[in-house]
Amino acid sequence: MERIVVCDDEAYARRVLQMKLERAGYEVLLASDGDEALDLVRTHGPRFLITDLVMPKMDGLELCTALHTDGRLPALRVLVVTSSNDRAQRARLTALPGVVVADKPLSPSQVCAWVRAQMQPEVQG
Amino acid sequence: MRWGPAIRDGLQAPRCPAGATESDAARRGRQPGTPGAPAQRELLGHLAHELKSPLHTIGAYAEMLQEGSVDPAARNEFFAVITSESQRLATLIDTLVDLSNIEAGALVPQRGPVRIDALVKELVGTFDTAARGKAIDVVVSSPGPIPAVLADSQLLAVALRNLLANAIQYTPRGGRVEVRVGAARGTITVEIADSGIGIHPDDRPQVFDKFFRGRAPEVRQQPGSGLGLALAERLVALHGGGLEVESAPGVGSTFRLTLPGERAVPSGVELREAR
Repeated sequence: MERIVVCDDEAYARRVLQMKLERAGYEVLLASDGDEALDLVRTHGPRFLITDLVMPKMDGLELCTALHTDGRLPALRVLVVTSSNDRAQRARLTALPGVVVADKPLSPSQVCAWVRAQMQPEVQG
Repeated sequence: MRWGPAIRDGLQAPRCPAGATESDAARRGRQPGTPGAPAQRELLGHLAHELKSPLHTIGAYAEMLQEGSVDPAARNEFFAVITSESQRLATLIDTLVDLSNIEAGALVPQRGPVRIDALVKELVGTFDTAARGKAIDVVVSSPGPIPAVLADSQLLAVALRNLLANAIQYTPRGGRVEVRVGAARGTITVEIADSGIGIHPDDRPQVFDKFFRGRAPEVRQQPGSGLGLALAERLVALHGGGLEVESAPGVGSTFRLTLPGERAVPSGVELREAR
């Protein structure tokens, strides 16, 4: 069973995504800030991380940077969900291997679709 | 700091156009209502985040309900989340409009004699359920008859509601909130003291800034827009009063609202009940 860490400081957002992903057959671990997510990734080695950007303690950019320093990217695929229009911040995120940024609002189905797409074998040109 | 959700019930704005007045923020030496480009971008960024977050939640829960895969027990909870997030969004928009009107000088208090002690007691009663839900003891005290002030009771009620909501939201289960109404040398004071998580000293200067959220994780875990205290402070300033805070992390915070003595109503003037 694929393991996914979901990180969001909003409990409502965590809960609904957890429900959707678990019903789709994934194992979901929850974190409410970047620190917790980093601990979960280091301890459980998930294949995917879905994270909010604006969070207390460690935000999404700091989290992704720490994961990159750990050498976990791009084996760990990261989806950063945000309402931020800060282009510089987005550019720093997408410069990291394995990290993509998506705009809020993003439905649970869209998140599931992203996870499924990541699991498709890459077509060699 | 993520202060409590801004509360605005009963506020109708703008109620009366007025000539341009110095904005509260400008008067206090902070960023005026028409910020420059970088500040405006930052505010818009905050605004986008605060508006999109509830929309994101509403859309996600609606989609799950639409799929029909939510069991009946959870369905009511899902509807409650959608309702609550919709209300959060509406309150946020109303609060932004109010703040904008205040800063543009377009919100003018409709003054009449107001018994602050009666208003406080009425408002505290509206938080009974919320306080009981967290086993928080809310105590109201006043030394005796408090002179009425010439004020807009609706606007003052909005300011006081935000302060009370903030106190209850950031006070842990089993805590205490004291509301002390007093009068000294013609100045009316309302102190709202909580045994809550307190405010980090470095956060205190920004407590009344729009969208400000403190650094403590206990604060970030609570819902809120960072606008409630900003609105309260500006509404009090609109009456020529002031709002100050003293706080110690882990001990609690005391917000002190003062209204100037010259607005006190002499005894013998007929009073109307607080709305």
